[in-house]
Amino acid sequence: MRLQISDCRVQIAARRFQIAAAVAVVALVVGSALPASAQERPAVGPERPFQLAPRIERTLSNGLRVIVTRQTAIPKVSITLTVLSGYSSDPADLTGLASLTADLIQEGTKTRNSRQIRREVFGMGGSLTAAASQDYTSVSVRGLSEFAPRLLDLVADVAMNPTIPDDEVAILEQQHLQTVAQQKASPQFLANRTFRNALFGEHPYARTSETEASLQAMDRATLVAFHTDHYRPNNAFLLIVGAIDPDAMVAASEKAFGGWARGDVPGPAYAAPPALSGRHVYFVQRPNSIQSSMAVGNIAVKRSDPRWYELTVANTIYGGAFNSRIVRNIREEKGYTYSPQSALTGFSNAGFYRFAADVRNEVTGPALTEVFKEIDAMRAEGSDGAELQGAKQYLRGIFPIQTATQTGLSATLIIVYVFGLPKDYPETFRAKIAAVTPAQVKSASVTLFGSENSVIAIVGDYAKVKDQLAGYTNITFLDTDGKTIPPPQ
Amino acid sequence: MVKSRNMRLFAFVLCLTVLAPAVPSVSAQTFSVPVVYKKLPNGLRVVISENHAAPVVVVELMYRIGFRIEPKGRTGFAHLFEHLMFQGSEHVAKFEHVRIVNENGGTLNGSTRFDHTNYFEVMPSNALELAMWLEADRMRSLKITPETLKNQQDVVSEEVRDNVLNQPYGAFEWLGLPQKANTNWYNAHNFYGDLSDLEAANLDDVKKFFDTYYAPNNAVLVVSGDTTTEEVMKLAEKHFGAIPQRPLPPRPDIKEPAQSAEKSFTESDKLARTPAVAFGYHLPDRMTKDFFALSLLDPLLVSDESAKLYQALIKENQIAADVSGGFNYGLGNNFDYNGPMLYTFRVDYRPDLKGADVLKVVDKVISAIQEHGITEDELKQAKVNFRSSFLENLEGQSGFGRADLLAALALYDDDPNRINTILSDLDKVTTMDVQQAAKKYLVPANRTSIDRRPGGGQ
Repeated sequence: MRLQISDCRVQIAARRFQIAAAVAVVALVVGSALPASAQERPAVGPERPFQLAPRIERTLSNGLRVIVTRQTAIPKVSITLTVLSGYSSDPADLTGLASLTADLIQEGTKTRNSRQIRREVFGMGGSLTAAASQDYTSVSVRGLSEFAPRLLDLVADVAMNPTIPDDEVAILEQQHLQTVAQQKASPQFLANRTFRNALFGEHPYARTSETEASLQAMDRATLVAFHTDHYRPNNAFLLIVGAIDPDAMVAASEKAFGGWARGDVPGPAYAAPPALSGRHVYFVQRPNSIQSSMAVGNIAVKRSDPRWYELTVANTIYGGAFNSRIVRNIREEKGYTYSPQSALTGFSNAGFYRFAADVRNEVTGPALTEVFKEIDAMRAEGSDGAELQGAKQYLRGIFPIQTATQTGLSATLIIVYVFGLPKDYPETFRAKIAAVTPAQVKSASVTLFGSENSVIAIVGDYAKVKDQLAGYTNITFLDTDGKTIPPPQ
Repeated sequence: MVKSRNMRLFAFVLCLTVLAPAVPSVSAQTFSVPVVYKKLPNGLRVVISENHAAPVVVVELMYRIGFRIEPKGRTGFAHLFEHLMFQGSEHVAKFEHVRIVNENGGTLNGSTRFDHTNYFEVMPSNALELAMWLEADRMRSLKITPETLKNQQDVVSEEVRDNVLNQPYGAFEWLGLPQKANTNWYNAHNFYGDLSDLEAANLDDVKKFFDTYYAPNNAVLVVSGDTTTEEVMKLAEKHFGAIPQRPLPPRPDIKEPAQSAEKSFTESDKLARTPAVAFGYHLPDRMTKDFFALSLLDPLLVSDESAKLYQALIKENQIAADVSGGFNYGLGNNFDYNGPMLYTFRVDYRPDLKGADVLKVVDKVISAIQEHGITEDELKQAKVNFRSSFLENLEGQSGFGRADLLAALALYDDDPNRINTILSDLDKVTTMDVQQAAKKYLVPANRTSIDRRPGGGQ
């Protein structure tokens, strides 16, 4: 052992350290019977077949689409009713209405009060959630599959017969007001909100969360009206994934939802997003910050755009996987940050690309420089060879991994039906990724990554990073409420 | 099981890949996990769990070294070391581990917990040998340079800033509370690490830590998914078989003296806007009668909106916006540790009140259980709910949950088949057991609380 330690020091002096014990082990191994081949990198075998179970799809006479598939990973079931109205359907002064409505429908029906709903779900090993996102609201229950028919009835009751009691509205509004206050302390929340507001302007995709004012403007009547207008079978689909008998679940769905009446559902009003000019910094002053939390990006295509595949490959290479250019650069080479990443998000009417990271104050400017340097390299050269092949293989490989669980398969199928993707999307995804060419990745990079015109949202302590942002001439300063303020001193 | 209405971050995960996989079955009652348990001559334990539903395989290495017994004066070192395991070995260059896994269609991660550190790959099953080779190469021949050490010291420091120092509440409920509730250094130090300790770590520390703990006889290899016992054993012998075992040091005394009086602390938070209180009770030893009883009370007390604390705090008294909690809160579940542990709660409450007001309501809820017990119906529902959460955990993180539980049961109980008998142990719990355990453990004298108040900021 002593000898090994001194070996070690020699190596440290040579600025190349190998753990001494490991050296000894290697020596042992090499001197032992282990063939050298056991240490060489093994080849990967031939790809094994991947096939999802068939799906049943029926449309009930009232227009509700029902999609059922058997997945027996564990004896559980996911039942999700998705209503195709979300934040985008909120009136501009009532942001959060779809979200609060989703919360309130769980708080009482014509035959069950709030507590009874919760106890019943609990006793079936279940969890009931209802949450609004940009284009839709999902009312979802997950529980033991032996209770599948009763879980289905419960989802139907909550979606069709909520009473939205006044006292529960008051409790939930208080709860949300506290959440709004907490959100203003979260640098990641503020960075995202600022980014989305700047990027989408008057377009409803600017809305990510309720405000004190919007919450105070909502009452039982507004919530009931939203439910009446939007929760309609012709504006929804029901997805059931689990260890169930598909035919029996289709029949049970007809029974549970057959009496739901159609309605005319108002669609969202889409304003044009503002035109971007230059690299515009939106700086949110958060005193005492020891990091700058940043979100950088641009408008991208809607989810159903046929270029989605090449854009996804380009984003994976840039920052969408752990093994990606931006992670290698600002984490593994420079140590600026722990969790840099970029994501491509597609909605019904538009989408966006966003890079996000939290970096220590001292490297705020340098981190931004690297972000744009990598973007410009993608735009100029795209990607080819082993890097491109690896990114495609990554996306092809994780698809079976993601869809091998009930919750993962549900999430994938919801995307298919919300955005009107081809029904064989899960079956063709891997082939379409494999077909992406270097030329497509290059053109996708130009489409995807804004460089000269970009939104840059930063949440931090301006005095600490001011000098590093000298190269950015267009800076708007905001407080944590989103109000414009003079440059902080 | 840990749960929360808000999705609070699991803290010690190393990287940023998130994923999702699975197992065959009939009904919940008859569901069982296939388990084969073997040991190589060098002491490496091997667990195989077949599942051919998808062409996916999970490979996990779990080492019996967590942050609890990391070196004194080097807080956060176990976690820093976890990062270093991705920085290269004899045949694998810095970050190449990540590149090889991603480029072959897989994801990976590592995390540091109280009593172990885990490393895993979720891969297409045709890449099984590649993943096992990667794990074997770093167990055999980790290679760290001054540059890679410095790089990961910077990355981990950013991680601590991200999750603790620049965040409102500063992880007080899972990182801060054990430091106040415990008195034995092993249980009571800053597991994420003081930045100065992280910076002080040197290559000698790295070498010593690797030599001491990263031996085959201190680890479990789990392979679950689309493979066979024959294939796994052949590959395990090929890649791990020649790595020599090493003598393991005696385990330090991690016992936590019994607490005799309630401990209450108040902290001022420069970044938070609204107050929150965290409190924790010392738990009975894992896998004991009282442990199982409290494991069943847990879902009734703090699982979701149906639970007693949610109903009392948010609905009836309307003094809070959120309540969450669990065993091994923020860092794991009821089974993946082996030592003193807290049953932790966090309540985000109304700004015009104090943490003590919250604890009064909590004590009323708990007193009712201590005096009147729970009903037979509640116990039955709790058993159903626990079974459901247990199954959910197996599917978690693309099937990693199943591998990870098998690894913990092999490492701590030398019995991965326990995965199929834990639920029967819980079935034996009676309403009287629950009442007795609540009387014994959920008392103020066994409790520590931190009231975290906004202040000193704006």
